[in-house]
Amino acid sequence: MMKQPTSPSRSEFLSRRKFLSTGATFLTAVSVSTGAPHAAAEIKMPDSMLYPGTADEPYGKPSKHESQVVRLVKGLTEKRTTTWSYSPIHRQRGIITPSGLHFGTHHSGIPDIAPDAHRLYVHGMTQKSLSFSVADLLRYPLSGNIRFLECSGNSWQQGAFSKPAAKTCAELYGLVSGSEWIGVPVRLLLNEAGIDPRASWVIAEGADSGSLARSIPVSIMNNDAIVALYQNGERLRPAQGYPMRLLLPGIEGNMNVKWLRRLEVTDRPAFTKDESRAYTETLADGSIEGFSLYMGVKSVITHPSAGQVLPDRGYYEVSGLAWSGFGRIRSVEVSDDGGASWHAANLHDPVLDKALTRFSLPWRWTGQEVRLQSRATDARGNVQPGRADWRKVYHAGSVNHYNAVQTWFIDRQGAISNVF
Amino acid sequence: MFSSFRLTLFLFFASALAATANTGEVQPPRLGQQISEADVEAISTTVFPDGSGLPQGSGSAELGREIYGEQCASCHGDTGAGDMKNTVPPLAGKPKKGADWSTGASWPYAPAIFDYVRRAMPPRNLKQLSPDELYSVTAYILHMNGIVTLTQQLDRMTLPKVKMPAAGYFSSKWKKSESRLDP
Repeated sequence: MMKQPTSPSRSEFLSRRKFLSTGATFLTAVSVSTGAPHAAAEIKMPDSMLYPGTADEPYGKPSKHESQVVRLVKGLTEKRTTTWSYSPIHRQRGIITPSGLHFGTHHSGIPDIAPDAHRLYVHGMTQKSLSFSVADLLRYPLSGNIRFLECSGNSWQQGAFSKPAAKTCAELYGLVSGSEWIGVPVRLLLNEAGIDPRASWVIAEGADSGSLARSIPVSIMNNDAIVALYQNGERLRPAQGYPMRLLLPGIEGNMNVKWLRRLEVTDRPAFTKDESRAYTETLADGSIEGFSLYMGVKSVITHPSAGQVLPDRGYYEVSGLAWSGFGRIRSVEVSDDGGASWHAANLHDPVLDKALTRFSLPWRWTGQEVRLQSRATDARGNVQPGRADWRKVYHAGSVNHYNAVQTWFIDRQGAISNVF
Repeated sequence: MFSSFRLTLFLFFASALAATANTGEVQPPRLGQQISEADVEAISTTVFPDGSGLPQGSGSAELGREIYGEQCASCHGDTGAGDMKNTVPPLAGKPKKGADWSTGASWPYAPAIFDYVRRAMPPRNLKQLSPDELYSVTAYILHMNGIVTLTQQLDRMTLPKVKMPAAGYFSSKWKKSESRLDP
């Protein structure tokens, strides 16, 4: 699956040269003045320039005019204890998700934990069994980076349904977010406890009402795993695990245990509920595959995307997000003819290891029907599969780890929808 | 060739460089407080597939039927069919191979059922069931799947010996391929 030769035929993606020449046409059109040269001035000074502003507040909020930029929350019912908060990725730019808009998948609600009462225990196959307070951990060397976090069930509808669901980009792809996560490297704590060289797994457990637990290979813990204390410059939000969570770069969201209370070092996995069925896949032969830890290379065009309508023909910047649990994004290609031709998109700085990566390419809509797609390749050479190829691996109805190429269909009215 | 003086100078700078490199790995503070064996035992609640971590006690499906009716059936249904519209998974039934496999058809190890009920079920009466009640309700879930008989006694020795059908068709991607990736 290498890059196909760029077809000059029907694509309306604009190369730099093409963009500059056609851009000049747009600019010419815009700069034509329609106002009469000697009419009285109509531009009035806005009130904001006539009256003093208000005082600042201790903790700032988004503008009241941005109240539509919120998550879609599938909440608790009398019976449902699992909830989802879909991040509005179609309204975000750059690669950082504001902490209050970070996605959430919760199995037992969000606990309220006072930091002074919380402890992290490290025990099991260790020389010592240790207890750390939050204040203790804040004194360790803190490190981390900008990373993506994705629920392994993100885009579950694409695996669950045989026909494309009439859903928006946020509903289909909003269980992914990007943040700067800072905390204590897990290996420092394992070293302090004196880990047995025969140990190979660590059971991480949260202090939530469901005591969520996952088994994590020691090699991942000793690599880039941190006990995260800060997200985007401030202490974690309660919904993100306050006062501390596990952050395993590139690894499926559920294993990044929130409200982290216990790290039990062992030599085998526990096969907890979330690794017995909930976060497993059904392979094409009907067997179950678990412990699929890495999130595969994936991308989605967020601008424009399903649920939106193009207001007019002409210039648009096609933009989206790409990420891979295996490392950096090497390239993203886009297509507006359903994959007949592919065009290299621009990757925006910074392009970071296991982080959301922003891509874009100027494009022109001529008013015709369009099948818009993006396809990412990561630093290991993993290429995002087409949907048919993804489906060959998994049994019908298996929903987790969906990472196939997404197609947005634009009709002649400019309305955009999810199609296969 | 180094003169003795130059060699000394070289060694001096080499050791200075090494010291500089070492400062990147300064010993972090060792602030962890050692906890008692009793505390370790109290927090070590993980149950493993081989049954380690299971407590004393025993139960059977016969006893578990009543507990299931009181504690579980209102969400999971009388037959364990679940209610996926409310994300309540089925506990019993044949594999559907999609997202709604039943517990009996998809969990490879029986002790994990005990572990999960003790951690998280039922959501509005958490961590209240006794070990005997947990063994009994685990037995009833297995009984609904035709895996144990109504009167079969389950305890820390017998529960790990229960053969789950999924043990024959469960594989680990980590074991198969991902563990061989460079970090």
